[in-house]
Amino acid sequence: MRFKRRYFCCELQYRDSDCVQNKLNKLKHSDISSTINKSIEKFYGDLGAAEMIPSFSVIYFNQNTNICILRTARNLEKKFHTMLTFIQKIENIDVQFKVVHKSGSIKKCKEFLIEYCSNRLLEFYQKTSSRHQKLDNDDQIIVNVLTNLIEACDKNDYSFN
Amino acid sequence: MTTFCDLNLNVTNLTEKLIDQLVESTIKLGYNEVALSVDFEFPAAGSKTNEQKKKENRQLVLVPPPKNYKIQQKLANRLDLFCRKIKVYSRINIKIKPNDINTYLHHLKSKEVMAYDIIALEPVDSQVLLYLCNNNFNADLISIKSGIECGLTDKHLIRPLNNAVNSMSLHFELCYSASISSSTERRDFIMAGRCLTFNTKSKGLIISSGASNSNNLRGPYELLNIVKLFDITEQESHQIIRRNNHQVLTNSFCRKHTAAGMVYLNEPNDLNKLTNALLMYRERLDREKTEEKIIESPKKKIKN
Repeated sequence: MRFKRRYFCCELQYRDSDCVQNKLNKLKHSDISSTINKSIEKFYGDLGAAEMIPSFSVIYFNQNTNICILRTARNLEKKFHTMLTFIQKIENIDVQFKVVHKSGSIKKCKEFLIEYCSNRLLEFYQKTSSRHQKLDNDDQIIVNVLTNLIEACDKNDYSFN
Repeated sequence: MTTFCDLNLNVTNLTEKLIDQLVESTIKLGYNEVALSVDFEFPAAGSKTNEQKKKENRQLVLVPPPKNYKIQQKLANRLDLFCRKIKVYSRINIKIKPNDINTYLHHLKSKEVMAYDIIALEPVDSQVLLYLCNNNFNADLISIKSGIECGLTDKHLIRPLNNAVNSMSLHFELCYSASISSSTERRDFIMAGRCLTFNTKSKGLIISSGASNSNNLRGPYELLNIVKLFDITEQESHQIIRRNNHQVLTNSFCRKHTAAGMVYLNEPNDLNKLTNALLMYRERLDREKTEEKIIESPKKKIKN
């Protein structure tokens, strides 16, 4: 029998913006898995830990965009989702897990994340272009790169350099 | 009505009084068949040069002989009143480390080891587990103490474990007495049980107590409730506790007393009885053939 899984796309939202700017406090792959294991033990006890820990793993985590992909078994989907809402801290940093997408395969998660990230870039570009100040050379370069990216995303051309 | 069995009562380094207490408490809880087990480990091989090995005599692997245990007279008289038949088997638990694979495993075919009723192997590593599942060592059980060390968290071990159950007639065993006291052992027990039931469809699983103390024993109907935590139906949980134990006992009987598992003779007169029965069966077959010839078939009548 095939072992069926569920993939959660989550975004980490920090409550204190100071922590994000402080580059020493960047989180790692292993921090997320250890906090989730501890919260499983806390909420569901021995039985839940025996069920959920072997089937749980962190597949992808990006420190810069704070997006992660988590994996569990299909029959433990709802328990895992409810447990994610109760997580408050990762290593003394206040954090919120925002579940953005759920699917049964990684392929659909990847397609969704590409669209999601391109929408966020659009918002960022609109924020920068709404300011009527003169832009420095560095900022002008960033804006040029972003316009290129957004044009490519509109055409669904994902093979940009 | 099937009877309940407890196939692992650890009896190493216990006096006779304590053994009697243990057996009495298991019988009170409702078990009818009991196996008294002894732990055994191969000696560690030290690194020596060839000259040193030739000078010193080789270490003899001493396997202790099985004890013939008899139930106390008072207990036996009480049980006769209620017509309860109780059987006691002998069992050996052999611990196998990765270094023992090339050196000591030929001792498993020796007479001293074959004198025991049930032979159980304990792997320490996942490497050893896979090796035991794929090769035939004349054993009955593979007992697993720590599921994490043996690599039983992954659910993709379907082929080697199924191979062991179907072709090698091996069964897997889990002990529940350690999980009563500590929470990490409880987690380990449930994890290993879920993995094994998923991979072998609850055909090759047995649950027994590895208890040397009567405080750690539990009744058979309580084990039923524990086994339901492995994410299986009620029918399968009943099968694990009632039927799989008896399958292990019949397999061990075939291994010990019969040559190829075909015929077992209790007394020397049984051979004559067998020949008489076969002759009678043959006469009956011949009679039926001749009776068919006398009765003409209806098709021939119509033709004529």
